Amino acid sequence: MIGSRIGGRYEIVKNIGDGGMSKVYLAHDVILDRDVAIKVLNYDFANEESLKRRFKREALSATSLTHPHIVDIFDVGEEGELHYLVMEYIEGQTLKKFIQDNGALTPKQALPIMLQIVSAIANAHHNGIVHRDVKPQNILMDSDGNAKITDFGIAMALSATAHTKTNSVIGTVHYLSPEQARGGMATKKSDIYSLGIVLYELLSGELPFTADTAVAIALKHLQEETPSVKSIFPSIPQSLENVILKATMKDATYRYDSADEMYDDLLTVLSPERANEQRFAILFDDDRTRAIPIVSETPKFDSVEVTKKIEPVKLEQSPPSPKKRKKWPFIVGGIAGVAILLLVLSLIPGVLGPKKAVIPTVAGMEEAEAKDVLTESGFNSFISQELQSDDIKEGEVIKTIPEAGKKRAVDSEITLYISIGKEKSLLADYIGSNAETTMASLEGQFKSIESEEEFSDKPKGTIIGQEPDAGEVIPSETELLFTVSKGLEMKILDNLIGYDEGRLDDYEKSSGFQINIRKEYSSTVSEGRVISQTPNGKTEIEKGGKVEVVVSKGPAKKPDKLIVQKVTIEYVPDIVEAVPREEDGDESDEEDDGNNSEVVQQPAPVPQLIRIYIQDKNNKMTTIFEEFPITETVEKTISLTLEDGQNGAYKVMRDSEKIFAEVVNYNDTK
Amino acid sequence: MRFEVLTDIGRKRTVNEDSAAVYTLPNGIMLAVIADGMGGHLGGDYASSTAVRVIGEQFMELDSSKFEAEDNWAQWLREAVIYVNDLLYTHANENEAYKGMGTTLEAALIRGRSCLISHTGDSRVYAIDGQGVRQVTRDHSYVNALLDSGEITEQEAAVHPQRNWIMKAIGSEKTIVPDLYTLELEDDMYMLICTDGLSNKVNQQSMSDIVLSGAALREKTEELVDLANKMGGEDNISVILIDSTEVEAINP
Repeated sequence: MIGSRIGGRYEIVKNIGDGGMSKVYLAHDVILDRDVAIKVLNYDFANEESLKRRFKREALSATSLTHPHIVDIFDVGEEGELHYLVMEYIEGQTLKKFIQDNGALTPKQALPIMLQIVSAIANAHHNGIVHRDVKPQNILMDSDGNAKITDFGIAMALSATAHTKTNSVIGTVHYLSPEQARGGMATKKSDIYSLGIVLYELLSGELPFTADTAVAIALKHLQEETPSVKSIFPSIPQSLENVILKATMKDATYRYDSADEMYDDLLTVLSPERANEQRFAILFDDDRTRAIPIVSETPKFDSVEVTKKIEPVKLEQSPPSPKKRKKWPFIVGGIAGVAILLLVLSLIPGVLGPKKAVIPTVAGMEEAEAKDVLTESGFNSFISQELQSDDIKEGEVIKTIPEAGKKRAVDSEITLYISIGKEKSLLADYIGSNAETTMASLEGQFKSIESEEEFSDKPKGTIIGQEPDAGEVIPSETELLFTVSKGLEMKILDNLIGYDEGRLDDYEKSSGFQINIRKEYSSTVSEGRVISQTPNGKTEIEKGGKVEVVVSKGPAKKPDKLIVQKVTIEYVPDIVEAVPREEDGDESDEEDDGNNSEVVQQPAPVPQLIRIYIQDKNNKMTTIFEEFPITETVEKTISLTLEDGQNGAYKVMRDSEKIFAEVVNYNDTK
Repeated sequence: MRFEVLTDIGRKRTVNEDSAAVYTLPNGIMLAVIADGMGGHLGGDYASSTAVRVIGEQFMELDSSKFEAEDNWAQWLREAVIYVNDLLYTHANENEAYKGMGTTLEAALIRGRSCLISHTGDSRVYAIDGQGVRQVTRDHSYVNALLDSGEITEQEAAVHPQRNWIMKAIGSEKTIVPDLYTLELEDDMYMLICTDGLSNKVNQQSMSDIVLSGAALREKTEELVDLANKMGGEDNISVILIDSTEVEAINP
């Protein structure tokens, strides 16, 4: 598969992933000169026209989706028995791997990812496409930390085949909605459920429902309440846990009505206004079960205070004028007993009370000065209340109740409203959050929100600085400035092929790239020169990034060969001495007797000296390799070690006679 | 006791991942095995054929004289299945191409009238006689487990999209505990062992009609397979049909 070309234009480079029913390859589209990912289905579609049609339909419908957080499908094709999808190539990892590597994310880290995923699903839903298998394994994280969803509808389309499965499907069951577990149709709300499970996993680093078997997990989805992430990480805001609880309601009618609604909820979930939200719960109505989410926004603390203070104002402002009281006391009293009582009560201070005085104007004075002025007028009972004001400076009196100019008994209580200045709110620390979503969620709350980009090792789009810092600010005066990472500084890498090591050194110094050299034999590139490089020349890579180059070691040496030959060295005794002995007549009698009694007696063998010379990698022909005497024929194994191309030889001498001589070439033998 | 074994690729698949065989010892003890393999490219075929071959080898080598008590037989059968599981599981984990393979495995050990069945997966053993069709084994299926939990109804189970998911398979898990069933073979009773390629396609009434018809045993198995193919034949189809009627004729 690697190195082959499919569809006439996609050159398969390497395998980058394996799924149960598919393999994913990195490929190069030679027509558009770009890298693509090709998902090749590991499924035998032969004779299964309806399944093939269904797969194509699902895949083609997914090609209609264009969204920054959905992996683009460029093409759907088949070549012989091979069925494949051509997709946008995302250099990165799956969200599952990301969670496994990073563990639980903080709400601030998780939220931007979640917003991206939910926006992608919302987009698909608008186009009438239900994903049906939302899980972190189907979400890719690119190097900038952006999430992209893949595999719309495809996985489930394929699983609806006659193939028997095992517990290998457990990965899917972890995110399966109760209605899907029960075998029902997957709906948009099923995707919302799965999104809730994904959010749980992002925040806790673990799955809400685990068990040994697929069915045990499915049963938990059906029967058990979604566990609380707050019980694992109590610092997670209730408002955020509520998103999980609402998305993962067993009964789909209680979930978010749409992914859009979930998105909107997520946008404000970390805002200070929602800091005191109560736990999401469902109440039951008498005749019809109905969701009553207790997520009503708690009013701002500030406004609570203001209304409380204003209430007495109304009461004080509305008492009937003294004139009326005097003129119609009995008529009013005759109308309603309650009114009489009120009137009598209000008349008493006027009749019996001590001295009255007119309240002076103290607005705009410092609090102490105002009290002095009031004391001079005869008043002696004060209450101070703080109040925000855009016009009155902090510490100065805004107004009094009763208002200036009113005539009141001198022992009346006067409330002084002291300005605490302009409205303030707590600016959070947004460093580490995603700029796009943060700025969207803060829009309109400040005088201005701006951002500037800087190179950083933080993922692109991450806030790396903010001005002012977290703390109390006056929103209407705050010009919020975020410093946003534009990722790592990129530089174009030169084509290094053919460079020698000296030039590589110079380039490493001047460019700032880290060059790692690996050596390999090459029969085409001369020794010391660069054969290849990764990444390729003219590629943009981060400043200081690593470059792998392969430098030639020259042509490869073939391994040494061991040549073993067996020679039989015959013992050829010189019989010249024995013959005259037998012919020796003088001792013939004795000899004959002896020979007769000891039938096999022979003369003691005369040893012959054998010398072996070897010419090979380790030995020279000029020196004796081995020397030994023989008195009988022996077998000898001669071993030669030869380097590539080397000629070897050996000879065997018996006394002074050369009995073997052989020349062996490295290439002669196998 | 007579038997017929038939395995068919069906009409849609390009590979037959089913395997089936009946082994007989000289003393008449029989082992009938059926396996439905799964798992990608090579795995399914390898898993089922290896399971059937290896358990057969184990059986043919055993010295049955040592096995008197029923308990011994049950223990042997259980150990043989565990041995096959270990073998396949190890092979799957050591070879990338076989990763994730597994197989169902029905192994029926028949001694005279008594039959001991080891069951793993969703292949099935039926006992069929004049009184009807009785499914002896219960599928280790996801849907059955949901049904047992009371979460779904029979109706929902019948159309559940994941009814092809099974909970147990030989070779896909480190440890396996096969279910053991015993069955007394009575006069005029047939034992039908089959893969889901048959049981998903042929209902019990048709099964009974064919098995109890007057045709020869071979024709009956062919008819069963033909019917499954006629109903679509999406999967491989394997059948072992054992006729116990003649038990007495052989051992008077």
